[in-house]
Amino acid sequence: MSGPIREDARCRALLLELSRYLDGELTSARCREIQQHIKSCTCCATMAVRLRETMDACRAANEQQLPGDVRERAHARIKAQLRG
Amino acid sequence: MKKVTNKGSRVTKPRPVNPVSEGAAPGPGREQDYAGMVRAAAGGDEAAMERLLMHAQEVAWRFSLAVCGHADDAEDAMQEALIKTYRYTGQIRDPEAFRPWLYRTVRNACLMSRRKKAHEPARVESLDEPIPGSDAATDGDPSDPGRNPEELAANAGLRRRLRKALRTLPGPYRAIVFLREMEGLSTREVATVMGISEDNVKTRLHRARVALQAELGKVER
Repeated sequence: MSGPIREDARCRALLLELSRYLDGELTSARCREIQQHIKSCTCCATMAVRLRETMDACRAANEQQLPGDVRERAHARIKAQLRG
Repeated sequence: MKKVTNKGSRVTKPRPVNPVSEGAAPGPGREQDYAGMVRAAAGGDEAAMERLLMHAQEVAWRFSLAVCGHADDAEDAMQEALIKTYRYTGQIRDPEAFRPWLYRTVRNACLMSRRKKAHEPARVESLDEPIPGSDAATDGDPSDPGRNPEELAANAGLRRRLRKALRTLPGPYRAIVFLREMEGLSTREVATVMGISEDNVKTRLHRARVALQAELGKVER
């Protein structure tokens, strides 16, 4: 691997597969090829790290809680529904 | 691939990034026995129905906020989804697939709400304005005994940036990120909710991730 310019086409193709790679959806043979490429290509390695960080950030960020007043209105409506 | 520049002190030298298996994403609520509640509620157990609706409202709120983007619209969509849950629980054919059914119901309610309000002037929401009741109100809460202040501040900052970045995505992309990354649905479940193919989910998810990392990088890097 000689750098981002000569590897441009290959890197572009790999970018399209990076999410599937990170999600574990590729064959083990393809995974090995990508791992091999990532070891020697800073651009793709950086992108892989950033995508992984983005995925991790999303997974850690889902703490949106139901506001108290919305919860109370929903409860009241549920109770009313249950009473018929 | 376009060359990624390193504006900050972040290490960009190649390092192993290993894949994870499908479905490994943590999913709040996945462990809850929705199917059991659905079956009991469908059989006339009122306590089970109440439990189901209480759990469903948390899920419906998070998703409706992600899809609608505005708290008032999200509340309307959530209420609509809860009423449908109450009315149609007995008709749900596959109780194991309750969560995808609920998400689809919420999404439809959001789309209906948007259609009804199409004639109204668009509401412009400040990106800096916290959604009422959102984590912005508790960012950096010093009363949280489980985490140190630095960690709280870092997490709060990341959540704020991520929230802003998510709002730059088109609605369907935002919904897919929410369902797959945050709620931990499988690709197949997301495809069912969104009414698109699994390949389409994968493509859109990848584009969304690339867009999000670029958006986060604008602030962070």
